[in-house]
Amino acid sequence: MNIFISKGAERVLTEKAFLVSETDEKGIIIFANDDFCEAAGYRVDDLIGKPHNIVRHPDMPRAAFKDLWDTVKTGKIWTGFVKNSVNGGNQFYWVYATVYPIMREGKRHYISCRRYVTDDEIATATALYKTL
Amino acid sequence: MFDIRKKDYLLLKEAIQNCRDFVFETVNETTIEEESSRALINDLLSDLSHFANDYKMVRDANYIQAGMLALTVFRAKTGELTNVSMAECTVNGSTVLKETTIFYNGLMSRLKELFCEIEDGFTRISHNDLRMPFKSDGWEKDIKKLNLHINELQDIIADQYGQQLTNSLSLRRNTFDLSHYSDELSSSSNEQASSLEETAAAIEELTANVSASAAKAQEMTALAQEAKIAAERGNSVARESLNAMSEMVSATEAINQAVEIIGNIAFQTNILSLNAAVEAATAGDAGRGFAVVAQEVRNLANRSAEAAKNIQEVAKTAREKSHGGLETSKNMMDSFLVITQKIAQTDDMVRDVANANREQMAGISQINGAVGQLDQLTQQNAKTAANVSSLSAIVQNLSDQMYSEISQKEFSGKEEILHSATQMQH
Repeated sequence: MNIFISKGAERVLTEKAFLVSETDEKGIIIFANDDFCEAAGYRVDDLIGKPHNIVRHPDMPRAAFKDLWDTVKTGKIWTGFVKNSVNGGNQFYWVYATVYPIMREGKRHYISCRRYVTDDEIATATALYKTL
Repeated sequence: MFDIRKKDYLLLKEAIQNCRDFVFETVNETTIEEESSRALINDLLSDLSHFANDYKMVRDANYIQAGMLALTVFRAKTGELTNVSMAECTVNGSTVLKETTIFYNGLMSRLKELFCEIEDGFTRISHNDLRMPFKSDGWEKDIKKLNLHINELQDIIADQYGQQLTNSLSLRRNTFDLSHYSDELSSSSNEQASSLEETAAAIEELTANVSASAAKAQEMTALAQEAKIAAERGNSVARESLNAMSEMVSATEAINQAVEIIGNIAFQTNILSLNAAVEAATAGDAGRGFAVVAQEVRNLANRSAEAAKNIQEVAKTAREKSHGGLETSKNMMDSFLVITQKIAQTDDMVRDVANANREQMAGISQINGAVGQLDQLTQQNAKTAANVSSLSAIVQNLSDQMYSEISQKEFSGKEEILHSATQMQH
């Protein structure tokens, strides 16, 4: 079963999609699960060691990420809608991200878990991000 | 008293629906506003809003926990067995997920124990100790089977080590013998080479002797030829002398006959002269002169008879001598014939000697060839012996190395093998 359906330039995630990644303190990818690799169009080896903004989409406002970092750096969970680029830049996919700081071998890491987003939520987020 | 206005009812229904969508995760976020004009309704809406916010904490914690679990599983799939760490926010998560995580971590701990046990076992093996079996305490079925297989494998390896130890011990003994024999081979090859050299020198001398003898035989053949010619010439000279002697014998016969005739004539002449004297006497004086003549004739006849008698004596002697010469010539011819025969025999014998020499030379040359081949073989042997010697040194080295390697390993049955090897040596 696919974890996304392509609709033109968009890869629409299905309900079963659960994209997980772990980064170090500087946002370098330490681990990425299969769903993330599939949705973003990378092999796991292509992702590990790269900065997480490899999947960043130009439509995403800086403010959204600033909010994300500000939140998780204080040890809180950040949740929000994120538009990501697929490898090659021709496609994108929306996720609802839950990001949280964890300790791994005495060092601060971040874990990000992403699920599908409804059409209404995409519309709301798109409208909101245009204002930022 | 609890009757509700339709507007509030719809507000509440929508808020409940939103909560439901949120809880069932058909939406990611929900917002419930307190929009009613009635405090009680707003209180209910506020409760629902609190419920949604509380639930968001649970859901967020669940996502994070599920993500942690996913990453841990991912790590486990790539071969790193770790526990799922409990993020701080996890306290807010669902009990069932927390329990699942605890189960998972329990499984991981147990697996880690197993892996530690296996790792320790392999470390022991890599440190050459195969005496301890792998423990499968508390494990059943698949894992127990795995442990049994590992133990079987360890036993097989121990058996192989035992075999290797036995082999290396016997290899050491055999290489020791091999090196001894190869040394022997080497020295006997060298001895063989030197005695072959002596043989070759002796053959060379023999060849020289036989060639010298052949040359002498050649000379002898030539001399025999010359002697044969000389003897033949002697023979023909003897024949000529025989012929001459025969002619002399016939000539003396003829002289004898002639002298006999002369004797007869002298006798008759004597008788005639006697008769004439008688007649002359009868005649008287007339016959006196005649009687003198008759006397003279008679004297001459007597002298002739005397001379014939002397000639006859001489001829007789000559005939006897001639017969002697004839005999001698015959004897000479016979002697020359014998000499010729003897020379021919000598020549044949010399030829035989020459033939024998040739055969000897051929034999010697065959022997020479054989000695040459023997020499080559011996040299090859010596080389091979040297190679075997150096190889046996290498093999000895290797077998020592093999022994020292295998003897470092500890495994069941090792002591027995070493013990029986020591007994074999005694």
